[in-house]
Amino acid sequence: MESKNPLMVRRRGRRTIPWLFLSPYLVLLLAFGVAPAIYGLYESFIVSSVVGPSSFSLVKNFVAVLSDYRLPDAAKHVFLYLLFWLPIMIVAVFAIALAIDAKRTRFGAITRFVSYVPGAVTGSAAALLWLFMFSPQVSPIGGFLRLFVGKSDTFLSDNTLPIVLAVMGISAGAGGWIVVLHGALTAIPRDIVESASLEGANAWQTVWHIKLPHIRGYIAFILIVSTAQGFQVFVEPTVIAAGAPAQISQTWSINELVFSYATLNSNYGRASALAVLLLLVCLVLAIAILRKTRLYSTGAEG
Amino acid sequence: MGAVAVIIVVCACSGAKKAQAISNPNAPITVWVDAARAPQAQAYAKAHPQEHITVDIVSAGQGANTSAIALAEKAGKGIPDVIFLGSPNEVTTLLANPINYPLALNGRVSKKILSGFTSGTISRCTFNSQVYCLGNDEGQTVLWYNKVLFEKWGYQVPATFAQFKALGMKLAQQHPGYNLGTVSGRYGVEGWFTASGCPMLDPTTNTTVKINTMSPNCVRVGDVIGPLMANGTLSTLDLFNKTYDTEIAEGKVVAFIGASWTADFAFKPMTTNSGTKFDAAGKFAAAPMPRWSGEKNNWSGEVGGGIWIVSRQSKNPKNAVAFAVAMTTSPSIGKSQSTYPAYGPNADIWLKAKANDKWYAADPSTVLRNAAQNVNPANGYTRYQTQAYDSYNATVIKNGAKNMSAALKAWGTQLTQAAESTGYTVTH
Repeated sequence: MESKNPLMVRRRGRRTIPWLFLSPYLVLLLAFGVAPAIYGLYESFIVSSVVGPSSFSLVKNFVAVLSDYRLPDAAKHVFLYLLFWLPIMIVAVFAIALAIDAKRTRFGAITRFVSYVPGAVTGSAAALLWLFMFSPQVSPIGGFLRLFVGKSDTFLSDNTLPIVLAVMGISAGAGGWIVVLHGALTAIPRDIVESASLEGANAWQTVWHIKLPHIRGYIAFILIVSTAQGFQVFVEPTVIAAGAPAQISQTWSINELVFSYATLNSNYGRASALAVLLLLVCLVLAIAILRKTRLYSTGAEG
Repeated sequence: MGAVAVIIVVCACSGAKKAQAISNPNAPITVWVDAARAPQAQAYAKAHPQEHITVDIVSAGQGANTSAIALAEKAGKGIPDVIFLGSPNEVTTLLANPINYPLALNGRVSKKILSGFTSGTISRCTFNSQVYCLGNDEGQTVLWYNKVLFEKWGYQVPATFAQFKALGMKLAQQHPGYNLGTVSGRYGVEGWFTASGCPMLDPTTNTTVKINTMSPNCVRVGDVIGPLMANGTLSTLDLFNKTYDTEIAEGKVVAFIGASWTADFAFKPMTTNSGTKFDAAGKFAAAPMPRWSGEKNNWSGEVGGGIWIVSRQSKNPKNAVAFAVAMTTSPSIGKSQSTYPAYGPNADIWLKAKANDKWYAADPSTVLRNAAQNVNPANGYTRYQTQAYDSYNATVIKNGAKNMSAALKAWGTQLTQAAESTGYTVTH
């Protein structure tokens, strides 16, 4: 009956059209994001034993993975990696984007292009490239690396890998973000910047009080995406470990430990349990970053 | 609560599935082999067209086959009838839940054929007195040494580990920069600790294991490798590490406790590339493993060695078993195989070719044959072998030169945790 009312029809149309636009994404999200996560959550409660039937337990798999002697090391490695990588990358990306923005010349465009190029090398290929860069015998900076290596003449180890991955991550990832941040900086209305300088703000004050608040949302986005990516680091340590046999643990990162449960032990319960924990950590961090930076806040809030 | 009840019901079903497949003598079979095994498998398939054998070439990487079979079992289709495993320890994962893949071969393979395999491969493949795999090749360790350098420097080939240690001390003083091999990862764990009979990967069944890295058989290894790691005569790098490869290519390796394949797959290719300063041809020979004091036997270890496994779900177990037997025992395999065959009669064929190989400074066949029969039975296949190598590198290799006793203890702790987390009850 109601649907005959033209006003209601229009209102319903207004509600359905956004969903229509969203639907391709939602279908994919459900099929490849939400559904596997729910299945993973279900699997994480199934405790498989080597002989005999499986059983159900809310905690057993979680206790088993949290007490695994490899987890503290893997967590430490990933944490150190994030600690080296994220702050340096954010500062470098912001600084370079500002520099390009400050001098809008052809030189800036070239800098933008040059910094973007390393990002075109995919993760596994980049891992091989850096494997050579950090092998003193073949590296162009071999002499420099040898200052830090002992008799073994190898730079790569569990403890140096966070630095190697941070260098890799910055060289591969920074370019894309520089382009994004530069785009955001050019979108800041000129008149705001100009009125700031008319009011006597120096370059530093303009950056700190005008430009940074305007692109805060973009920095939050970079942080969320990079944190999630960093916590799940897998391809790079796996490829480097394969190229430098016995120098790097096969369960160097948390995600490699998940992989080892699933492929070496066929223990899907534990693999899922650790994956679920990883998801929780990333969710909590994402929410914290969102709140701290007020990414989705509207103009009214400032 | 309702959801929980449903989940319990669901997993109660999945635990008790898998009825034995109904046998059909005409059913086709599918085999999974790695690229190296493919030519022999394809030749067999071609010679037996009536058996309709499909040969799938798959990755031989660690865990690749196990996870693929686990998924096939989960899907209930696409399970191969026969597989080749390049990482033989994975048979223990295949034997456990949720996979339960291997078929017991007792009664399906004749006793005469089984007795032709080296006792080591049979005992490693046996769980609860059932044989679950057939050995493809052996990686028995011997003492490879540069005969020319030994003669030039007036060194004696060490017959005991006390002599080996003394040689290492002398070498460090007289010829620094030269080495006596590597003890990294599997080369140290298998070539040294397993050969010495150190219990660390010692399964008594598929759910119980013995680990004691403080036992005399482990400590005596530490006493030799600790000082030699400290003075640099034993490398801590992997055999296929770039730095170590350079040392091989420059002729810096004086001796090496390594598998039967070390000469063919490391020394030969690494010294015949263009641009290497050192040509190893005519220089290396094999000597028996040194003995530990008080032991009569020159115990050997085992580095590598593939296996064949038949599926208990095969619809045609007769043809599947026949295929696995042919891949390990047919005389043509003895001629074409690149590594030491686990089946004795084929090993004899293989060794004839080695005896005439002029690359060796002396015929290695007697030493290799004896070593294959002397692999220390202390250790076998387990589900935590990868972890054992990783934890060994993180403890003994990392800290052994400074404090071997503490490193061995730490290794034992990690091994115990690794074993328990993969479903073993540990005894000491």
